[in-house]
Amino acid sequence: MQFRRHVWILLMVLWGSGFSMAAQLPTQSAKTVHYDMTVAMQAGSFMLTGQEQVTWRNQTEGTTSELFWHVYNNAWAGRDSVWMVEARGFEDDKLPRAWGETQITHLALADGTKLPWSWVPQEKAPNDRTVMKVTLPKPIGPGGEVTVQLNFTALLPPAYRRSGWGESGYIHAVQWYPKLGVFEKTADGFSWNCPPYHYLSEFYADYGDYTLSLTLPGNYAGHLAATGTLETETVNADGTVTVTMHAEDVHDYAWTADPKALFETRRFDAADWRDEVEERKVAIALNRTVEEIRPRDVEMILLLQPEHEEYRERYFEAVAKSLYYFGLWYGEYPYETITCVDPANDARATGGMEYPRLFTGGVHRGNHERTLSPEGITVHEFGHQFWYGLVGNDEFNHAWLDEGFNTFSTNRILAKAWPLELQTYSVLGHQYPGRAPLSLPSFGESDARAWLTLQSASFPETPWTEATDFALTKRTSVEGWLQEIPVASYLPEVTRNRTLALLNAHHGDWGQPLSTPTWNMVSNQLRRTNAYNRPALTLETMSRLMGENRWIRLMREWHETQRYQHPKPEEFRGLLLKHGEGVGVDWNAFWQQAYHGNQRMDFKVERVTNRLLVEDPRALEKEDGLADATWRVRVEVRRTGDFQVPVEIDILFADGLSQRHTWNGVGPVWVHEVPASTAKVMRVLVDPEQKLMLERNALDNTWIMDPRESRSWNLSVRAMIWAQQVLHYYGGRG
Amino acid sequence: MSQGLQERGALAHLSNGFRVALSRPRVVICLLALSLFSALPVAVPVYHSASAALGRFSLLGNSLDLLVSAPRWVLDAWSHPDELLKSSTQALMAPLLLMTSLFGLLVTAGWMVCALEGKGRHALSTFFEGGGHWFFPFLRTWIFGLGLYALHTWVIWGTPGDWVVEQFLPDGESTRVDSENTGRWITNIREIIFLVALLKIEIILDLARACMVVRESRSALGGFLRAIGIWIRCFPRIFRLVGVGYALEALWIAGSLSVVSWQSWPMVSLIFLLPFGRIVCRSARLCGLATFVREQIRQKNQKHTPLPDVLSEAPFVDGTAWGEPAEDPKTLP
Repeated sequence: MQFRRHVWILLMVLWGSGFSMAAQLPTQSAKTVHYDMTVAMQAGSFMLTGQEQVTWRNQTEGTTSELFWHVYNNAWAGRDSVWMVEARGFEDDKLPRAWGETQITHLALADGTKLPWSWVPQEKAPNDRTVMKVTLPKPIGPGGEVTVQLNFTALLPPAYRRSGWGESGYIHAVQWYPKLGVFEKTADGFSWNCPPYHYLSEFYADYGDYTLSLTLPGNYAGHLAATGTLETETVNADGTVTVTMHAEDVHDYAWTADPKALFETRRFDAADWRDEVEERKVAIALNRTVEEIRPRDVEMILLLQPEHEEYRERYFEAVAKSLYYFGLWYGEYPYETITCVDPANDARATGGMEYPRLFTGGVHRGNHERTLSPEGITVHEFGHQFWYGLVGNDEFNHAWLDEGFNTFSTNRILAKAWPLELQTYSVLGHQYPGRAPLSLPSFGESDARAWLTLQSASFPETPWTEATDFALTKRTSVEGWLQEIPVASYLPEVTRNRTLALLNAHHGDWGQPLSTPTWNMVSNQLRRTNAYNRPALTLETMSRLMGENRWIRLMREWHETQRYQHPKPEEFRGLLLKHGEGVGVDWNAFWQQAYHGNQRMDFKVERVTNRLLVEDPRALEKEDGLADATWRVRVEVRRTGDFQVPVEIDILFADGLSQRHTWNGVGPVWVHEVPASTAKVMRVLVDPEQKLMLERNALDNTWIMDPRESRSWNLSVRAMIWAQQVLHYYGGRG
Repeated sequence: MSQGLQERGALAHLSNGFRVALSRPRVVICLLALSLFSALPVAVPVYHSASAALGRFSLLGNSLDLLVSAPRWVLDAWSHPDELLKSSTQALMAPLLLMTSLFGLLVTAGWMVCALEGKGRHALSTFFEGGGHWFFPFLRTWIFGLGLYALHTWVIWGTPGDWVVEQFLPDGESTRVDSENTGRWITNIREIIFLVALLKIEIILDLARACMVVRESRSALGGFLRAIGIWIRCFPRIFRLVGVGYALEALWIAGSLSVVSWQSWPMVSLIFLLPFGRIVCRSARLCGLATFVREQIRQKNQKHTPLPDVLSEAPFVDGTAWGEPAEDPKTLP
């Protein structure tokens, strides 16, 4: 053991001295923008009055005489914003309880020259006011810069779709100030990428530095967390409190204040969370020393609702493990602080969101320790510090570049740092492990079977009465428990691997390819599939096909080269080709099918035959008659999907020998035939190491000689116990 | 307590109910068989579906016994695309639930008649004849019960319930208050009130049926009104009778599960153990309620019509009601 450690140290020293590849992390962004803001919130209202001085540097080769700004708080200014119009199109009719609004009260150059500006009408919503265009008196060429003085008022809405406030004073201020879009190279030259606030997409902005002086009512003293580091906090003569903050190399600025929340700060020290095996693995793959890749110390700030005290440790643990693994895999987290906000109950709409250096989680009371809540959401939203925050992709068009990468990373951390989740059911808000073998049918009110199951009744319209529907009973959590007696009828240990859970995405619509711009997806469900689950499955498939070491290098390089950048999907394709070379996969074809195409991956063991070749039938009558028998075996594997990818096939024979074949997956069928085998085939595994996570149905990828009758027996026993309990309950009803 | 008739405790009625149920093994076996056969149409498609989808599936390195443990993705991959299984479960469960509910009326009547009539005849014929005789009158109580359930559901989860909740939660939404605790408490209390209300309806319906059988009356409304009267007068005793009945049922369930897990009995034994205990407990409750109602009605009659010094009729003539002699020999022949 001691010897092995010495060998490791020696290897590390060698790498450190001669062969190590120095860390490539950029230390700062290009600082395209600089915001200097002074903002005050009036007591008794959620109206912000602010002045911002914004300097924009043209870091491109193009020239522009306009500035485009996001004014996303105006998405909540009425029913005629793009967001609201699209929401109605997706049958989301929920409106904010009160509208919010941003008004521009002054706009001029730093020297006082007033600037003409206008709202940019959108095709879907001509009255949308979420994009503002400012015309400059003279063009700004490459390397030039302009400073603009802008005054505004922003009325925040009650918590609604990511932003707003709660009744107890909780404020989550996001997209609250006019923010510049991104001036960048496009296929047609250079232009501003500054779309309106879409229902299906999020944000995109340039990196820079922010200084904010924020004045709030006095009860917020000591109860504020933000993207920036808090520098000073002054109590003013009028009882208000002014906080100054500063953030560098970020592309957005959010702040949260809550007078009733608990605030706690802890120091993250990587030494407390070490995973030596993983450290060594990453160090070897990157050809660096462990010291080089170990994450730095960070201040963790938790803003916790008092009723969620039980989750204090779990939140901190999740943030710490995220800081550790993300830092280890992709490069250290560069900022001094990270803030995790547990949103107020009446502002849950602000939960599960990410902003630079600050993110929101969200949890309900009564979670079982083996359900990863709040861990799952915490790791995921933290992960956006890397995928969105540090690698600032265009979320309007390529949300999968952050959500997909982040879902992939989140699932890996959860699998590595926590025991497998258990599926649970809820009774009176508390969760207990278990899963019903079947589900009680539920019918719509107009379905006659709803009568039969004593759920609801409906009466058609008559000349004398209107059509009526009413519930006969309501299935509450306690009644559900009494019906099914889960302690007896449920499977108690149903484990949930989050990566494998993504396979459920196959049951949804895959109608548009990954390359479809996010804002233009045809449904919210498809957005979820294409931005989160499908790319995560695709990345998982790529990594498994490529091998862990290559994948570690690829992801590290992707992050290091794209930190503080705005990457495009094609750049990732380039890395894929570079790191995937020589593993036997045509990555161009893979990319074409997985990204541009809509192909589905599916293989199946079609047929296995073991035919006994009998020369002397009397031999079979002997006790060991089959010992020297000869078999003609034939294995057929079919590609039932249209995604062509190499696949491994493992064949196990009765004599214990196994064969591993690789099929290029191009033709429709793969056949392996042995005319005279000394042993019959006992088991066939297609994709035995489950590399192809995009596989639609993995259940038919395997074949075993003797079917496991015990499984179907066991499952039907559970189903029978379950049905007996439900029927017994109904036997006493009425 | 009446001078002439001795009032028995609620638990005595319940224990008598157990004696009635356990002394009729044929009926219990018949109901047990019914419990098995009615669940089979659900279990058989599951068996075939799982056999086809998972029988030849090889899961390396993970537990897949599908009785205690399973990876969720396998269950999802098996059940999600199997529309046939889903539709067959839906198609089967809906009529099964209705039939079970209706057959429950026959069972209720059968046990009540058994409890009141005594052991003179063959148990099965008493049970099924009684059940058949009272089935249609009980069906009226069943329909009446549906209305009551709907009314209670509306009161607690409909407009009146919403109005009450709105006094504590803005717009009645738990997400409109700053603390999760408020909404959680209100929702839980609402659920529990709903459950108690359901339980109350079930008890009153059973009391109504017992009234009908005891009084030989086929009027569901009359039975219901009398049941409400008995409920109001004897609420604590009825609650004790039913509550202890349910508690014993819960104990039986817990005991069965313990036996299976600690003594390593096969899980399939639960298919027999659980229904047996639950059937006996339910039967005991029904029998207990029936004899309890008979006692109450007799006492009431006795108040209106003064009894002679010596009763012409024994309160419990079935020979199964009480094993021990009455305390006061004057009250019995």
